[in-house]
Amino acid sequence: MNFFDIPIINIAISVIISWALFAIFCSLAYEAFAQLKAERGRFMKNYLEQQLQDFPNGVNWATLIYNHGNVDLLSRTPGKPSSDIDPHLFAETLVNVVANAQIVQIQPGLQAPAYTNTILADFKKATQTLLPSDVMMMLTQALKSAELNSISGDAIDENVVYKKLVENLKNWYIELNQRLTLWYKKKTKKALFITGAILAFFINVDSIQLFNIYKDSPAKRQAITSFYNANAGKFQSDSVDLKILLTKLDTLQMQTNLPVGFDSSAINLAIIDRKNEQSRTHHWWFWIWKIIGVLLSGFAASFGGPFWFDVLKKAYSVKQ
Amino acid sequence: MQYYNVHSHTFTMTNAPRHFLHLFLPGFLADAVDGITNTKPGEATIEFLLSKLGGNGGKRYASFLRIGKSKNQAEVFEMLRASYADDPEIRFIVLTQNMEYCGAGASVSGFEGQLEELLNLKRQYPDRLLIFLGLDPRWNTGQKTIKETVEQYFTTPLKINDTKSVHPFCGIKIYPSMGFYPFDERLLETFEWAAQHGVPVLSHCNYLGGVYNNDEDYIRSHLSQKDPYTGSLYKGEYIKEKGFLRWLLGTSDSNNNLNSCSYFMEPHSFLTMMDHFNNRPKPLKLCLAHFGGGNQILDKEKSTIPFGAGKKNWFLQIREMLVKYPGLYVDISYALYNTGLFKVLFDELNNKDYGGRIMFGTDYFLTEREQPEKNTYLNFKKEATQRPLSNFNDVNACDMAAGSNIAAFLKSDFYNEA
Repeated sequence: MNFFDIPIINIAISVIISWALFAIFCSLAYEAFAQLKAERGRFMKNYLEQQLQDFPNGVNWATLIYNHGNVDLLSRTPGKPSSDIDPHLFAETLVNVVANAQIVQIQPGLQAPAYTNTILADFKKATQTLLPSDVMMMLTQALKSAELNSISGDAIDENVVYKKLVENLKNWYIELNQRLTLWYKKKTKKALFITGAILAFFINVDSIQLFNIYKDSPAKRQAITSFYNANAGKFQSDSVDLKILLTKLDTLQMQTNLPVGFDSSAINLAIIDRKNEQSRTHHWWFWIWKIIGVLLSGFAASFGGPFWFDVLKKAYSVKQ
Repeated sequence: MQYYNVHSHTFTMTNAPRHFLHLFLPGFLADAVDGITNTKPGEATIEFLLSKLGGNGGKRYASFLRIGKSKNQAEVFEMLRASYADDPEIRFIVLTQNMEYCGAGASVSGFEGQLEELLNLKRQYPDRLLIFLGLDPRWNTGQKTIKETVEQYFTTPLKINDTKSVHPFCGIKIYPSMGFYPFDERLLETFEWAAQHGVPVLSHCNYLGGVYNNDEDYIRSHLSQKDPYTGSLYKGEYIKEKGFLRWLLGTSDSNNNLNSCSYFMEPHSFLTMMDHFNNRPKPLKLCLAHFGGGNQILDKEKSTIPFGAGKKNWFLQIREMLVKYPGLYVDISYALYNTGLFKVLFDELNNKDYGGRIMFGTDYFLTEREQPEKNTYLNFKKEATQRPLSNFNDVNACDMAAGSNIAAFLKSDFYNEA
């Protein structure tokens, strides 16, 4: 007997396929909402503002960067900051913002300007005269490292110092961006759970109900696994969009006749219950199980489609 | 005639304390409001609810929300400019505010960040945008004194381009209700410097209006302080009032704090400082903004005793001070939206003792809650230009209040209209 012919395994695979499809649907819906709200851009701005807040000097360098023409002009509309700031542009803007800040200009110079290039000279002045802080330490370190790596003989080539300074800040930004991507994924997980639970409630993606249906109907199990085998490649590609997905899901619905959609939703059932003049059709325990089933679907959605497709891929590799 | 608006703001949510709304609402609700107002429909809904349910604080926050949620100060300033499309040459005095110490947490931008943002804007409008430096005695200026820092900010030129530089600031703004007395010893040296250079100082003075310190312990421990000008103790008492409705709404503490902060900003607390500077050849130029507050102007005939040590109507207190101190100015901002006050204000402008020291201002954008800026200005201008002042060679009230009076107030080593 094949491992996949064991009913419980077959049921589990069917449920996982359903979760994978639902998770993709939730991800696309959430992505559309997040794009509308420029969620990723806001998230990035928020974190940059946290990282570049210089409390001792009373300045948030990130706010000034976002107000600088270089970055400001990248925004779609006010209140929707760009999530795609080129690292080189970011680094050059940071150098410019720090060097030109009036809080630096008002400081009496400690010595004759270190560089003939005013931007570089003012940037160095900032690192020498502003109050020590985490941000200033990072900027000072970036400049010192640039200076050390620019010595050729007795002289320092200012152009090289500037290039290396920008390079150092660019690297810092790239590293931060990598972390930001991880933090954003974490945040998205929570949002996907909420989106998933809400959508599952409205279109009745009840994991417990699905489990029971697959348990009772080998034909439906067969239909959904066939559907997966035929379309797996398409769903795992990056180009899948909401419209294509909905068309495919419609086809699946026609093939399997699963109780998914608003007509089968808890809201619709409650309306029918109210209209029914006789005793109510559904009892309280039905609603408890419904809530648990919906929350389970939300939880499954929070893992994202790629996770479930990965699980399926591994499962099928065992089969082969 | 060069016109000015002597009282406007451009600060945004980024410049306000992080927990500003937490002063008025429970934490979870404050966070929810902040999140919802990130979209336009959400903003409109919350603004409506706050103005109806949030009392004075909510109302303030609602008006703040509409414009304060703008992207940056440049955007707020553009809206202000657009309100004066008929007067493209008018100059705006924008007052910066150090709100870092009002018991609601630090701002996102930081106070110096707020200044940087506005100074960058001044590079675009070097002549039309005139900035007052917000001053708070608790300002952390590192190793330097407050006076040294203020002086450096005033004297270091702001580079507009390769051929032009301007003075970045032309005045000082203080906001005593945030939790300090105008006679605070840490400000004394700066005021001496200001008087010496003719730098004007503008103080918020609006009875029960505006931002206040919301830290009861802080207020209690700072209400009674030694007045350095006299050496004696200036006494203030924390006002603890109870009310069932306030208790139910959870606003008892904030109301008591607001009432108690009246001690800090009432006209009476400026007396010793004004006495000190009054005998100088160049007395300190001080403007008590809002003329004590529209509510006090309307209340002047009644015998209601306001909170504070003076125990007298603030508008009446200021009128007496105007006669006594030639360096004292007032502005009629915020109250100006109320056209019912025009008669009183025009009569005051015609007062031969101090009519030359009453100035036009609107308190943009906080007045947006009452009516659009454009209407506030046009209503005033329409009435004032038709009002000759008999004690001043029939000069019209608009030319006086929005023109010559403000030019005289602003004139210093760092600003001269000519």
